[in-house]
Amino acid sequence: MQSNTNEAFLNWYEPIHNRFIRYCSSVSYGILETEDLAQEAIMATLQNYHRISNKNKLLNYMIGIVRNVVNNQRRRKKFHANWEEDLLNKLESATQNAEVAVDIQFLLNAMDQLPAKQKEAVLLFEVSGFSMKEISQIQDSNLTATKTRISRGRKQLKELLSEDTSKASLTNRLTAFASILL
Amino acid sequence: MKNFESIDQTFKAMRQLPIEVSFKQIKKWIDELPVIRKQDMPKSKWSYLKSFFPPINDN
Repeated sequence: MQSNTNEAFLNWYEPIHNRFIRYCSSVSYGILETEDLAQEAIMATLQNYHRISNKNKLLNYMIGIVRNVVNNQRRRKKFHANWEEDLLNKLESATQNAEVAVDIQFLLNAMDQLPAKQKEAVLLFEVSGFSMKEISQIQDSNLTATKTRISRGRKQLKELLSEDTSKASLTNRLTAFASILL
Repeated sequence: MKNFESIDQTFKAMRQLPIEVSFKQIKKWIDELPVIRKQDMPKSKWSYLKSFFPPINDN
């Protein structure tokens, strides 16, 4: 019985694996290990696999768990002084390129200023590669609302990141570079 | 980073980051889950007492 459930779950999960892990990575940088986050979401979804009769809701359920775990962890990490440093170190080792790592860090920081649903939609679309239709299912909204959400998110990101030319942003950028080099 | 193009490039760089957890790893987690068999579970005192009073069939 249990092995049938596991098999059914894995068959459902395999096609979305890469996209799901990419999403977990993009929301967990500097907060917690992607592996821990993915494990928690997958195990909880597996436990409830039979209870969720509408299998279209599974991805919605799994992303919801990711959201809750990340929010809880963020609350706990609020006073963690090395947050930015952890994020940059992890990005640098993943990209092997300090400049790209700093760009990603800036983009992720800008994303934190977006409303939660907008940030989630942009990450699911741009980083994970989920379709608009899948995102509207995940977020329980219609296709038009999802399209608008992503478009507004991108526009807002552009505005936030174009402030990059200010003196303060340059200082931040130099500080970030210095932390890599030292 | 000033325009859509460089935002797109950064998103592209994020998409190209290595996948941190493989599907094989997930399969391994699931395969290694402890199986709880019903017959191994200890009976509660209530279910033990209930066994002395079988359900009455009115039909």
